[in-house]
Amino acid sequence: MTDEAGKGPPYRGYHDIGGLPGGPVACVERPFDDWQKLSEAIRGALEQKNRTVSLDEIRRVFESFGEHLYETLGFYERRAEALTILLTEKEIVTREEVLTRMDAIAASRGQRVDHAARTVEAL
Amino acid sequence: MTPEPIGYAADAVDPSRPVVEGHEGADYYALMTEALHKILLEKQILAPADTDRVIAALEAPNVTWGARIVAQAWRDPSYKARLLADGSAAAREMGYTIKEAKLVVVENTARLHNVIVCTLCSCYPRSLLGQPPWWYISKNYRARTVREPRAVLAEFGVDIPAEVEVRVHDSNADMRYLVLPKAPADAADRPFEELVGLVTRNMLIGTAIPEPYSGA
Repeated sequence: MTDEAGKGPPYRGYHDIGGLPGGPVACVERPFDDWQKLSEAIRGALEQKNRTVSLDEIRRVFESFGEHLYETLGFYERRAEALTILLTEKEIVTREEVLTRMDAIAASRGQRVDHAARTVEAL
Repeated sequence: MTPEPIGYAADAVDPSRPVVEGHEGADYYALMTEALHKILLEKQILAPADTDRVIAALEAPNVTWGARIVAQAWRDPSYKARLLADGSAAAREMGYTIKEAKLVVVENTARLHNVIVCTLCSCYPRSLLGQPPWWYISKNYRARTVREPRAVLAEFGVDIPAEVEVRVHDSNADMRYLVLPKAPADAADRPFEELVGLVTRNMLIGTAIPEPYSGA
């Protein structure tokens, strides 16, 4: 796996995983959760409204937001993170207001959000 | 809380390192999505009907649509020829508009088995079949299918004899694939709806087959 000169790393992003070694495929079914549907719908609705966001932009974000997030998050989680980053970039929302609202919603349910660990737990 | 730094990591992949199949963050991102939606509604950037409309469009497509295309191709050689020549146009004939990209239909024969993957992302003919299955969006499937397709297919219980070629199609932003499974021998004589019932989603991806190749 070298470049034409026969040296150097393969120049590809961490999302370009075709051909890498991996474990068994989990041949299981999972439902399309309501929040996943809503996340896709927010993106789709914003795309339909004057192309406020596009799927290409979402991909650009999660293909450059860092290998750690790409590895640890699931598919829809990566897309949800990328949507918030993109809307922040476009100054449609601020990250602070999104995180603050998450805290408020969680508190109303007796839950606490750990933004560093990306978890929600009962108080 | 400051946002994650964004940096382009063009050479981040070590080709010898196994993929990491992370699935963390569901509760956190469910909450983030809810918060984001509320904020966008308050700012009147979105109205409630906007997302409702998209959700309806996300929920409408289903595997039966793809199965009907296959059943039609099994019964009608001229439709099959049109389907293989231009998948999008042939799908439209059946009333299905492929919105996201060009649909390319690949035909299984006694000597050739096709399987579909998207190594870079998880491109899939969503406007025809709905959302892709869990395993299709997994990194293990994305990584390994182009490297060792027969081993991956074996994990789905599909054994492809050595004399049958396996061809892997890597989807992208411009092309979505659909497998036309090999027709049962008596397909032309069977009722349309019965044939539709034989076709599963995995057959349309290539991780299942209606009948073993060795029996062909």
